[in-house]
Amino acid sequence: MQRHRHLKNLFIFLVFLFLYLPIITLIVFSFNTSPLNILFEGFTLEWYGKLFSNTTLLEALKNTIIVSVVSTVISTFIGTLAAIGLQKYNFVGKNFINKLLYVPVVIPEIVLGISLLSVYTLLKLNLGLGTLIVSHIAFSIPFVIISVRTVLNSTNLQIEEAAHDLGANDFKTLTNVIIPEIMPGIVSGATLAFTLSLDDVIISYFTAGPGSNTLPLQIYAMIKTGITPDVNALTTLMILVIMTVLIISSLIQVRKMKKEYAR
Amino acid sequence: MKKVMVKLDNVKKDYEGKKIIKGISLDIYEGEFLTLLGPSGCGKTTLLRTISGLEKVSSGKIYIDGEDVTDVIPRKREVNTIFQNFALFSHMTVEKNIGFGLKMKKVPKSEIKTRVKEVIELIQMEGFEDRKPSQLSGGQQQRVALARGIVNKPKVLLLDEPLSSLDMKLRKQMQVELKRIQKKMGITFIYVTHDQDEALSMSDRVAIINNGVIEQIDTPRKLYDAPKTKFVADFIGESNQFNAVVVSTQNDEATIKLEIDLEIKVKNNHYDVGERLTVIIRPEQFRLAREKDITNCFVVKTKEHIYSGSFTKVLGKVGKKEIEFIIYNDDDYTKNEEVKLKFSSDDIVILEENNEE
Repeated sequence: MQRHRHLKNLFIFLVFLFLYLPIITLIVFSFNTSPLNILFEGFTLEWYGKLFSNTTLLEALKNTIIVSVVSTVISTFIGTLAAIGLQKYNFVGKNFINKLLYVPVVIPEIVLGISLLSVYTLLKLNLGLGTLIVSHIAFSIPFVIISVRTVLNSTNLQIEEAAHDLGANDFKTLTNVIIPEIMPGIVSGATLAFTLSLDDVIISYFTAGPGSNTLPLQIYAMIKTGITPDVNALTTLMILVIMTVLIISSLIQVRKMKKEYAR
Repeated sequence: MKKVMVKLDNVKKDYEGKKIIKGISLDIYEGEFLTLLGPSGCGKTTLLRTISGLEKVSSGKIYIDGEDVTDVIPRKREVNTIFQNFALFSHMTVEKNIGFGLKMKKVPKSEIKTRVKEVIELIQMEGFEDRKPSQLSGGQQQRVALARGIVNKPKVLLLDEPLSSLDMKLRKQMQVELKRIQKKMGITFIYVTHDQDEALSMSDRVAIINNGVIEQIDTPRKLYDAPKTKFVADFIGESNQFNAVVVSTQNDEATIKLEIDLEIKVKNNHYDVGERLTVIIRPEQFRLAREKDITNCFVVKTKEHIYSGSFTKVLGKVGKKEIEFIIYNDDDYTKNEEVKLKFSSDDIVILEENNEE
């Protein structure tokens, strides 16, 4: 029994090591005096300073944030309403549309990227932030719909009738009852959309134009010339931001749960 | 004369070509507890939903408090519904759930607070205001659902099998509770159930619905003592039903022959010789017969004795016909293969066959 527990702990340790070793390496090398990510030669904050004077990188970061935020907001809005509509109404071709939703999910990104590019060329649109945002919205919507629909399916839909019965009109029923009731699905859909948009390379590669480089694209481009440790510094900062948000949100969760179970 | 609160005038409802409700007319009085009772799929829930407006009628009229509401949308009707699965808003606290209807009607916040507090006291849920529905037991959720309806002081409260998801003991408790609250608030209750015990114990009147029509509407007692159709006799309580034909009539007495080849004498109710009748005898209307009783005497071969405390239910046969009767355990009775039974012709119910169709 005892040996089994040790084996179990060892296994868990190895799994976490496998998951986090690359990230730790990255953070460590962001403080490295040598510009090569091979040997750790000494501690420095030089790269963090250089980062803030690297305008290309900062510009790419700005673009990434704009594209992710805008595309997440729009795709969450459209996806949520679409999921509710698909759940509520029956119409000809509903089944077909439901199946069609999975196509963008399973289709290789490279195919989606090329198709979007050919549409933009056909429409003679100039590639830039606009086309980038539209592309990100396009591939995010199915993920939002699927995630919202999962929650909708497990929701007691009689609450809608109950709301009407208690005097709520259609709009109030949607905003005061349905949306709050399916909020977990909306949040997870939005999170999914945001993370997908944040690190997308392939589709962005086809649909971005001059001056609309995103961070993943920029880093990808830098591989050819060699990655400098200021990229390490930037990603370390991003990890820091994400970790902070995660910790705060789980603290809020824990406090809420404690409050509810205290009674 | 009591005031009519809900009036249904020849209400019909078709759904995908199927006739769910085939023309129901019904007056429900102010402050009444009326139950719509029937087997599943008889149209009782659909009928309730036409009153709330959640279902549109195919034809016919619905009046609430004298006003024609046939084409009025649900939220404009002064009725509230208690749903079978409660349909509470899981993201809202108990207090917010109950206050939702008032908030939608733009009642001032301070008034919402006092009215919500009142009903929380009424349903005895003080101290639970800030809980979410998922933190409540089934019975408590039921109370909150009820409170969410009555806080709006609707003219009519519609209850769609509200107790069916509760366990037996809790259900009995809630029956008493419901009746108490209904009396106290004086709201007209229209209650849908398939549980005859529930219907009989709570209602002022019960409408027995079968196949989209009302078979009979009466007080619980009348339904049991004087059923008007075979279906009602069968649905309410237990009954032995016999096909019979009138053999001869004297002035106030008629001789009729039951399907089991037994002639009995009953009161003459303008019967014609040869007329077909249905005789209904409740299990408890049979009495043990002594040797000297000759008329109206059944000779029953017993098959099974089911002991039930104060009485024993006996299943037996007369010829090929199954019969059920009750022996009170203080009666002088020993288990027998054959037993003679009598009944009083005053107690039993006789339906004229043409009543049926």
